[in-house]
Amino acid sequence: MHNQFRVEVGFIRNKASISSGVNTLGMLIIAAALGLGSAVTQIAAAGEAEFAIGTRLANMLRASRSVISANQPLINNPGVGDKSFTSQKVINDAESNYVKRVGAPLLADDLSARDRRLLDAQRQAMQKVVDAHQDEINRLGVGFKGFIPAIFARLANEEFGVIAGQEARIRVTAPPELVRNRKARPDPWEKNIIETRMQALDWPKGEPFTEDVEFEGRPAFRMLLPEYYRESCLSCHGEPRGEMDITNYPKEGGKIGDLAGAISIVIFK
Amino acid sequence: MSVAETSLTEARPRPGPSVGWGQLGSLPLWARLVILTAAGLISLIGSTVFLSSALHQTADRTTKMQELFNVVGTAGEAHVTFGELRYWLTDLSVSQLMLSERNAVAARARLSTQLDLLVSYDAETVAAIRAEIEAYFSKAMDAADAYTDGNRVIGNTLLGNARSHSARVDAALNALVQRVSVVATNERQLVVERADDAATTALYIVITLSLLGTGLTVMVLRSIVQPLQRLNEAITSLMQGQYDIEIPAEKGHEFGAMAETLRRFQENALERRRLETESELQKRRLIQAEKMASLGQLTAGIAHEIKNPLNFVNNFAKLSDELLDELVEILQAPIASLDDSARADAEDLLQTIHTNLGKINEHGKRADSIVKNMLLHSREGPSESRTANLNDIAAEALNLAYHGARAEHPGFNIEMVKSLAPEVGEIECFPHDLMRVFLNLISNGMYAANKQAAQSGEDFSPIISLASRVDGDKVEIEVRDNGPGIDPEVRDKIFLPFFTTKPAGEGTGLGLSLSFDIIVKQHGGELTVDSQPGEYTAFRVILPRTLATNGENIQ
Repeated sequence: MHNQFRVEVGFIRNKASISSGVNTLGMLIIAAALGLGSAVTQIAAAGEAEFAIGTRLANMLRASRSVISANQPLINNPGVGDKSFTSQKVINDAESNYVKRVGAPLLADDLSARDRRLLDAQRQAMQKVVDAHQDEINRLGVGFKGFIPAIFARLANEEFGVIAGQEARIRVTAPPELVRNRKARPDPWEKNIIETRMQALDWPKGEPFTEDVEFEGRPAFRMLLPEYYRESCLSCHGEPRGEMDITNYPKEGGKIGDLAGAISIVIFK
Repeated sequence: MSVAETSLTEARPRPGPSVGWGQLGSLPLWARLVILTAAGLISLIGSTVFLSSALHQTADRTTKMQELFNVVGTAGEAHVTFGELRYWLTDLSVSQLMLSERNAVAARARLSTQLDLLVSYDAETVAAIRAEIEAYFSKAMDAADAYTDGNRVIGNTLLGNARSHSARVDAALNALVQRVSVVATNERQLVVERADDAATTALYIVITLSLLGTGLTVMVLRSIVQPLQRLNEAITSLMQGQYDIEIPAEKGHEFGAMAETLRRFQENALERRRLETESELQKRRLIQAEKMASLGQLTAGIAHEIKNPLNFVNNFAKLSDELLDELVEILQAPIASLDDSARADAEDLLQTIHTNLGKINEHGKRADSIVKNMLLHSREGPSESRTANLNDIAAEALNLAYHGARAEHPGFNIEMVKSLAPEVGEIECFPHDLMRVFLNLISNGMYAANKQAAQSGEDFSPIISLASRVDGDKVEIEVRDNGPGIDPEVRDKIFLPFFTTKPAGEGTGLGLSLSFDIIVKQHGGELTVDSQPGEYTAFRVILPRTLATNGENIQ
């Protein structure tokens, strides 16, 4: 198991370094940060397909969260009723973000049927969540509405599970001490990887971890992508530790670059 | 009795003032002070021990009370913590926030710690509460898990189950708080009451000890100050020469010794004064005796001078009477020849001359008798023994004493009774010395009877009686008076030289002493006294008919 992991990681790294010569410097940096390059998707090999779709799903999730994050002032404006913050707008903006992040559109022509299904399911879930919260988002007189990136992501992931749970799962988890909602608690596998790998001092920043394991009794490809605090995170998760954030939850005291959590993806085989 | 003797007798120490604390007064001064100090220290230590014991008890009870209130506090805190636990577990089901779960876990841990503190008070209840808490926690977490997994219906059911447990925990903690509160409050009430009791008792102790201490101090001070005052008064009196005072009979080492010293000083002083007084008396008596002796000589001289002219008077009176008889014989015829009137005058004149001459003779003899007695009484020099009529000597003495008394006191009178037995007759004796004895005894008797008369008034008639009788080969003369008698206390002393009850200057104190010597030593007889105070005094002189051969030697 351990050896296999090493082999895979080495492979990915190699892929990343190959692509560095092809792409621009900026894209290279982003790709390195995300742990993948656009060239990865083009390699059709055992495990690589799962890695590719996993990465795609994760990036789309991040892109959509950015939309929710960027629109917080609008969402929390108590003076505006209809904010035209529609599900379609969210999807559009998220896809646009995706392109900015990855340097390639979400939907490529060579996507497998399964990948396409999964990406559709993800977007569908996101839309559903935004649609379901239109009343809240448009509510007059209420400032902070709690419709924040993390909530949105969890709800969208849960909805994704409802739609495509038989094929894949997406969730956001974190080191146990940083988990806020118990639904985000890491399962034993996640907890183990976070604590023994990602929290280790010598773990390369941004390096995802993949492994073929059994999940709910089925063989599955599991993937864990570390997430680090950025400036926008720290208003709720930064310092001083213990101070209440806008949701009245004590801040974790995190700093930019600290391990904040991990996107966990399961692709059933 | 002399003044000195009287004083000495009366000056015997009387018992000292004993006021119950006599025991204290008999202790040395240092012992009294030690007792006082010891009493103070014992009081101090005793009250301190009591107070500290009371404080200890109060402290113990206070500690117990504090522990109970701690239990109440802890139980109350546990109740509050349980409230938190319940809140966070409920919140967890709704919010699904890990914060709530962590808070719940923390609250459970704190609750467990708090319950640990209560185990010692009521292990059983705590165990029951713990079990209920665990059941509640378990159910609530199951409910939270169900909610997390999206099983809302199961979650609600489990939460409902959890609520029944939480209600029991709530009730049990409430009951525990209430129960311990009641016990603690009672304990506090008890502590307050005990403290009050101790304070009251301490107050009583302080008051009692103060009173006792004051009393003891006063007693000790009195036991020191009062004897000192009495001794001081005695010393002051002695210094002022008042020796016949009462020396306080102090007990105890120091005061006893001081009093004893004073008593000896007093005795010495009194003895000295008595000796001085006696010496003075003796001096006066000697002077008196000297006077009497010279008076005796004078009397003898005068009597001797008077005796010769008196003999002439008597002899010529007797001779003239005889001559008158002869003259009457011669004048018988011439007188018969006279007329009746002249004859009667002549006869009357002759008869008157005869009578006058008889009176001259009679009174001359009487004067002669007085002079003889004076000579007899005042004669000095060694006596001679011869046979003499005892009755005559006694009668003469009575006569002489009577006239002597009358000469001294013009108004003097006394009834004289003589009962002299003729068969007493003549005995061998020293008549002159016996006369002295009888004069003494009779003079004393007359003095006593007269003294009684002066005191009793006119109803009393003084009597002096003289009686003689024969008793075998001895003769006895009794001199009795109805004077005040002799005090039994001094009866033994009356024959001592210089003893007298007469005022100074009236008696020498030698009379009876001399008489005793004359009767007992000179004549080998007896001189006894019988007296009934207020009734009579009788002296008996018992003499043998003949003198012993060494009679002279005795004198």
